This record gives sequence, structure tokens and C-alpha cells, in this order.
Amino acid sequence: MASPAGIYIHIPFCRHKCNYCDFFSKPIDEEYVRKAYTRALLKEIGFYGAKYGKNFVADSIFFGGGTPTLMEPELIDKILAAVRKSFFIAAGSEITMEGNPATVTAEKLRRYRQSGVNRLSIGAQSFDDEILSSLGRVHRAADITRTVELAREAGFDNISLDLMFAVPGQDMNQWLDSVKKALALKPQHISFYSLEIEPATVFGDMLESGALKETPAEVDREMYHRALALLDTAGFVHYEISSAALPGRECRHNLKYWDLSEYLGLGAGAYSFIRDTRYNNIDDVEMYFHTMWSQDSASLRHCNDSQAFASDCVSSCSVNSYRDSVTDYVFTALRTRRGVVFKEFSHKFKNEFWDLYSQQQAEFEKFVRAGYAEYDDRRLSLTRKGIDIASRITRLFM
Amino acid sequence: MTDKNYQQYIRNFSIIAHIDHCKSTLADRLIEKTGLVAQRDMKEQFLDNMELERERGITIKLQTTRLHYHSRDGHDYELNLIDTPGHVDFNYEVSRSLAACEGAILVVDATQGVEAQTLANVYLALDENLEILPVLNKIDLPSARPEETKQEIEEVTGLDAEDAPLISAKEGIGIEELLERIVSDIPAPSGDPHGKLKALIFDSKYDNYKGVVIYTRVFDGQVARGDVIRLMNTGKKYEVTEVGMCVPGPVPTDRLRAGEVGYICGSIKQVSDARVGDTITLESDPAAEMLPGYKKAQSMVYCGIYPAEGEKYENVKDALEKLQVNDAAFNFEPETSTALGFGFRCGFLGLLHMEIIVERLEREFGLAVITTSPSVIYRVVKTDGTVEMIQNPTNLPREQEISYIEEPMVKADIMIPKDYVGAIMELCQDRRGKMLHMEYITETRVSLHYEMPLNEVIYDFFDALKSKTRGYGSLDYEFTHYERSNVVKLDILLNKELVDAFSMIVHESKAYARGRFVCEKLKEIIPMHQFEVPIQAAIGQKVIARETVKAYRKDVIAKCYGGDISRKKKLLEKQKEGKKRMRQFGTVEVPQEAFTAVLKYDENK
Repeated sequence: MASPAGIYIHIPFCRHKCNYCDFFSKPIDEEYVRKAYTRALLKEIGFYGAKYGKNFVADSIFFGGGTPTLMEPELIDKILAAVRKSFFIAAGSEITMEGNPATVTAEKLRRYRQSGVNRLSIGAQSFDDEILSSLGRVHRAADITRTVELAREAGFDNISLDLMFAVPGQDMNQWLDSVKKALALKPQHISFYSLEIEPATVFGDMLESGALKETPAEVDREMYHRALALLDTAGFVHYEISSAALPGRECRHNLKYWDLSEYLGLGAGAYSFIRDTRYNNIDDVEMYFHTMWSQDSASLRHCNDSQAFASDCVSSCSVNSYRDSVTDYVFTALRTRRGVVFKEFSHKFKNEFWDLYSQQQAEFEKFVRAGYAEYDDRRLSLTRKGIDIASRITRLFM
Repeated sequence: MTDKNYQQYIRNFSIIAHIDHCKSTLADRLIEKTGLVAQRDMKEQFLDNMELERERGITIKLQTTRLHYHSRDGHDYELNLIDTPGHVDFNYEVSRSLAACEGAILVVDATQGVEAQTLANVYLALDENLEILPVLNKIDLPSARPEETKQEIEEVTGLDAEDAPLISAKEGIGIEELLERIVSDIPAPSGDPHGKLKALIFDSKYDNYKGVVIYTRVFDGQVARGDVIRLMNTGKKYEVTEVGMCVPGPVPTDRLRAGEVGYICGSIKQVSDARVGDTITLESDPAAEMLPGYKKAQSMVYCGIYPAEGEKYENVKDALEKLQVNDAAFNFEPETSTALGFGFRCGFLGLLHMEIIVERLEREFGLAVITTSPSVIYRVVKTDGTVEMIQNPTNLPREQEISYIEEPMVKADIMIPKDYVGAIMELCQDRRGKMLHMEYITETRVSLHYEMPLNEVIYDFFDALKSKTRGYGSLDYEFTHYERSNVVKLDILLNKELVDAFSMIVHESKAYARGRFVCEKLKEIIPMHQFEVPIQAAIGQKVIARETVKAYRKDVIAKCYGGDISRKKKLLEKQKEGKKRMRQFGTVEVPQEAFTAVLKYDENK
């Protein structure tokens, strides 16, 4: 019962690196680099196409970044055509593109849509211009509204907005105002992230030097729960810690990360999880170019999985043990409203959940009694209150 | 050589000095000078052979060695150096080592002068009628003030220090001169090699192959391989399997004669069977009376030692047994704690002794253990007239059953530079000390004598003394008597449940401060739980201090997509590793460090 896989394509370019960003992205905005990158991507798609071919069934494609909307529509078109040619892409697949409101035009959006992109995930982050500039975003609140309107005109009927809270300096009203403005634009999906300040980012450095103060945990949690209340009222389903969608509009691609489905990551710095193996491509654009161009597709076809994964382009690779897979599953499933589904668990792992975790049950019950988690004979999940300490509960099962 | 003659060329001596005075360095120099160990084989401080001793710079176990010295008078001498431990907890061991000698070198730091520990050891040596040879060390330092120091020695000890050799153990200055003075000043042993055997045990250690190795000084008679010996205090008999000299490694000989120092093996299983201070005689021809000065090892401080989470009870027991085999002053018995499960109540000479044992468990045996608050032994007189000796706060009878409690008192001798008198008097007063008297030893040095509850000394008095005197203060104490005292049992409750491992007996006047301190400390250390955790300190039913650990607020990963899964899961796993060293008390998790943290009482906080 291999469920369809997802394909992730990383576009590591941005106009400007945001102050909180620790993803692999480069502030490069040059057409020739994008073209070269596309060529390398096509080569990689060719390799894996040769390796897996039409047996590789996917029902989601996700262009993530960086800023995928920096890409010229014809480049996206080429990439999608190559993907369709190399793998089996199911009819009705979800094809998402992440985008920055400041980088789109009506023309671009229309052509993306024509190439088959049917979902747009807009990095709105905030509807407050001051917050946006403190985050180092290149767009302004008005750009978000304009982008959503243009997307609708271009034929997009599945739009997601990303929002960010617990931003230093952001108060409760600013945050709730952003949520309300986002809802007013009638998106199908909203992601809402508590800002995590990572080291080696502008914010990370500022935090270290004392120029920045983290939002207190109580405020962070209040922002979260008050946003959830607004989303509830608007009819959204809160299906993952930081994601909510109108019924049926959950992000199919992201769900694959949380139910142990396979995904093939293409492009520099992209992560893959295939045949119990987690590996990722080197996160260096030049090295990625170099290895792709020097790679001989025959060599890839003839080696077995782990060798292929350990090719020059792969910077790290590890095969999941049984235990890894079990804990990966629990770790990711507990992020979702659906939680750990016992039948699915025993089907995947040939053991009953509570047989493997008999030692943890008593401890888990304490969380249940305190209202942090719930379970019955079919499934186990966190309550909203439990989400606040999700890691704490998840650690039990690690 | 005639029988009597050989003694003329033996010198048995100890080095007594304050802990910081490079005593061991001097021993090294003597060994080096007499050519015993090639210089390239010299490790720093040769006689301190335990890793821990080397690290802490203190001597716990004695090591004895024979030096061969060709004197300027043309004769060859056998100099037996008996090194001594240098801490207040090991006074008895020091006294027995001294009893094995005819003389002692008193090493005084020429930059610091006479310290309390030095003085205490001088008295010990005088008690044993030793010839004391004062030596001024660190003479190479610019801050050395030999003339003043000599004067101080004379004033304080009454010894003639005029001709005291000036040396630097570190630089090897004056060592030969010192060796000559040992030969000329320290008397040769006397004693009848044909008399009935009387030999003093001044140290013993356990050897995996030979059993207990007894270090001994023969006073009368002789002992040879095959003899059946009797230990006069324990009455136990053993056949001698080996006798020999310590150079410092064991070198077997035919026999040991009166005046000589060496070792005896006899398939003895436990060090406690060959207690320091006991007298060895021959079973077939026993001496009429034993040598004076024998004392049973007496534990002054007790604490619970428990296997930490994930550590096996049996492993801890094995390790404690091994330590006990080699340490007559250490004892233990099983006990249980509702909080910590199965463990051991252990008795020590003092707090340092306790710390050493715990560190050895961790270091040499690789064990993770939890220690509970140290306690002295209280004498509890009950309403029915019976008396109970209590060394575990948990066992204190109920309040209604107690008529009164007595606590052990010590006489503490403290020596400090005069500038610190105020601070130290304050400290002693705070520790319920009663001043007996105070004297100026010299213009700048003061000796304070206090009567103090042992309870107040064992926590961190020594640390406080050192920090308040910038390291110049020194302490010596000995048990004197029991005294009626208003002590109470202070309990700690976590989430309303009593955690017995935190219970302690404290003086009523200290209970509030201490209760507050422990609550504050635990608040810092106990992680947040899914519920609020009240921490309370209570005497009986009465809560005297309270803190609260707030419930969890946020512990969640906001973003987790493809690339994050491995990395963020690893993060959780790592956090989980960190949690392993937690103890579960009812519903509350307490990190193991909490147990040691509440022992470190910083009153300035």
C-alpha cells in the first residue's frame, strides 16, 4: 500500500535574506543563474527518472525556497514538464509554489497556472509594514492583497498565507489584526508560525548581543491560542501545529512529511525520504551545479540505493532503523490533529503501539489526566493545550 | 654487624606540615637525592599514589619508603620516611604514623608561617616524644621571611628553630643539608631485638594478590615469614606469608627486627581487620601488653549513598565493599529511602573523607550515585527514658516521643591572620560557636578556640573559613562531648509529598534560613512540569518556606518540514538524554544535581 510520494523542488534564491531565515537560500537575483540552476535541476530529474521511472508515483509537487516566484515562468514550465516526463504524476496532483508578494506579476502568475501550478503559498508573514520591515521582508502589506487578487484573476483557487507571530516588538493587537486581515482575503489555508530565533541569522546575532528580546512564552502562547480562536470562527480546521485550512484544503504535500510518506527532494539543499533513507543534497549552489554537470546518468542507474544516495551531490544520508522509523512516525504524527492512528501504526510497524510503548503509557496518562493529550482505542493525539508542550510529550516516545 | 649495631644506622621519621606546604614535594626531593628513583621516572609527588590525591594535592593514604643515604660521616644510613596524611579528618592516622618514628621534620612555609594544622601536628609529635627538626621551606621565594618565621616557630611551638635548615623543596635547595641533619638530629631507634614482638600497625592497604598489606614499625623482637602473629586488639591470628621493606615498592626480606620499618602480609581479607594502631605480637610468645594509643575508627559524619537512575544497586554495593576493604575508617550498611529506593547509610571521619569516597565511586568505579545531606549522630533521649543514636534524619522519632536531643560538640582551633578576626568571629558565632579563648601567637597571627556543634562544622565551615580569609585560615577540630540542643527536623515537600532524602536535622535558629535556601535552590533546579510544583520546607506540620515551580508554558517546535525532521527529532532525543539523570518523586522529576546543590549552603546569598 505504498501511498503516492511527493516531489519537492528547492529554489534557493531570494532578493534579500530575511532577518530570521536559516533556510538554505542565497540573495542572488540573476537570470543566468536561474537558467543554469534549471539546467542542473533537469539533469537531476533525469537521473532520478532513469532510476525510478514511472514506478515513482507522486500526487504532489512543491516548489519551496528561497523564493520560487523569482523563477521565470518558462523555467518552471520546463521543470514541470521534465518531472511529468520522468515520473508518474497522478491526475489532480497538488502543485504548490511558494511566493513572495513583491516578486509576482499578473503575467507570471497566469503562466505558472498554465504550467500546472494550482496552489500558491504566499509568504505574507504580517499585515503590519513596521513588522514586515523589521523581519527584513522585501514586501509591504499592500503587496499581499494585490498578490492574492492577481492570483485569483490568474485562476488560483487554492491559496495559502504564511503568518508569523511572537515577532520581537509585535503586540497582541498587531498580531490579531494580521490574522483578521489574512482571513478577510479568504485564503483556503493559513500557516502561522511562532518565530524561532535561530543562531547565525540576523535575529540570532541581535539576540546574542542583547539588541533583541524574545517574546515571553506566555505572550507567544496567548497569540497562538487567540489566533486559533479566530481561525475556528472562520471555519478553518486546525490540522497541524502551525497549519489550518478550510475542510479539504489541507496541504497534501506537507501532510506527507507528517505521515512518513516518501518524498523526493530535488535541487541544492533539498531533503529526500525514500525507501527508509533520509538524505539531502549539498547546500551549495556551485557544488550542486558542478556535481550535476559532471554526473554520468549511467553510473546512477547502476548503483543500488544507498550508493546512489551517497553520490557526490549528497551531503548526508542515513538509513532509518526500525526504531528510527517508529520514532519518526510518532514525532511527526503528534504534530497533526489526526495524531498516531493505531491501525496505521501496526500496519506500518507490525507491532501494536502500546506494546512498543508499554513503559511510557503510565507517564503518558499523566499528560492525559492533566488535559494535555487524549487517546482512545483508535488513535492518540495532543490537545490544543498539549500543543504548547508538544516536544515535552513527544520526548516520551523518543 | 652486631645485633645492636644495626639500629645505629636507622632513622625513622615523618614529615609534618600544613596541607599546602609542599610536603610531598619535599618527600620527592629526598627520594630523588638519595637516588632511589631515577630522575626521569619521577612523577610529581611520588608518595601520593592515588590519582585523586594527586589532583586534590592532599595526601589521604600514607606511603612509606626507605631511603639509602651515604652520609658525610662515611656511614650508610637507612632512612625510613613515613609520609602522613594532611587533613583534619585523618588526625588519628597521623598520630599513628608519628608513633612509628623517633623524629619528625616540621616543614614550615617561610612565606606564611605556622598554621593551625602545623601546630596540631607538632603537638601530636610532642605527644609521641619525637625529636622535631624544624625546616623552613620555600626559601627561594622573594616573599620568604626566614628570620621572622624562625622566631614565630620558637614563640608558638617552643622549639629551637635557630639552626633550622633553609630549603626549597621545589628548587631542590638545601636537601643534602637536611639529610645530614636527619642523621645527626634524629635519634636512632632503640628496642630489644630479642624481646617479645611488639610491632605497630601504622597503615595498611589491600592488595589483590597478597590480601591486606600491613605497614609496621617493629619496636621489640622480630618477625619472620612463617611466624604466626596475633593482632592484640582484634585478637585475630594470621600466618605471615611475606615480610619486607618498602623502597617504596615491596622488597621481601627474611625478617623485620626491632627498630625497622616494613610490611607484613598474612592473607588478611579486610583492612578493618588490621586496624591502624593495633599491636602485632607473636602467637607463640606474646608480649604482655600492647602499644598505647589504639583507637577504634569512629565515624563522625553520615550520609546516604544511593544508586542514581539507571545504576545498579549491586554495583554500588560491590564498589563500597572494595573501598571498605582499603579504608578502615569507612563503613556502610544498607538502608532504604522512600524517595531514592535501596541504598546505603555510610559513615565517614569527616566531610572531606565523604567527598573523597563519593568521588572515588564516581571516578574509579564509574558509578553514578546520589548522596543525601550529611548528618552527624544525634543522641535522642526519649520520653520513656531510652536513648537512641540517630544518624539518619528520617529515623528521628516522632516529636511526642522525644524528651530532648543532644548533638555532638567539637573543640575547633582556628588560626588566622589578625585582619580576619572580625570576619571569622562572626562566622563562628553564626555557626553557634562559643568562644573558649583567643590568643595572639605573634603580632599578626591569631589563634581562636571555639566550642562548636559538629553539625555546623560539617556543612561548609571549612570552605567559608577559607574564602573569608583568602585561603590563610586553617582549622583543626576534635570531638569533645554531647550537648543538649534545640535541633529540629527540617523536611522538604515537593508537590505536597515529603522527599525523605532531603530531610535534615538543623538547629531551630537556622531552620528558617535553611528552609528558604533549599526551596530557592530547588526552584532553580527543578524543571517545569505540566502542573505547578509547590516546594515547601516544613518543621513537623508547620510550613516555614515555600516556592513554586511554574507549570510548563511553551515547549514546541513551530516548523517541521522535510529537512527539519531528522534535525529536530535529534534535538528532542538529546534533550531526553539530559533528562535521564532525573529522579522521579511521586509526580515530580528532580535532577540529580539537586541533591548536591542543596548541600552547598552559601549564606551570603
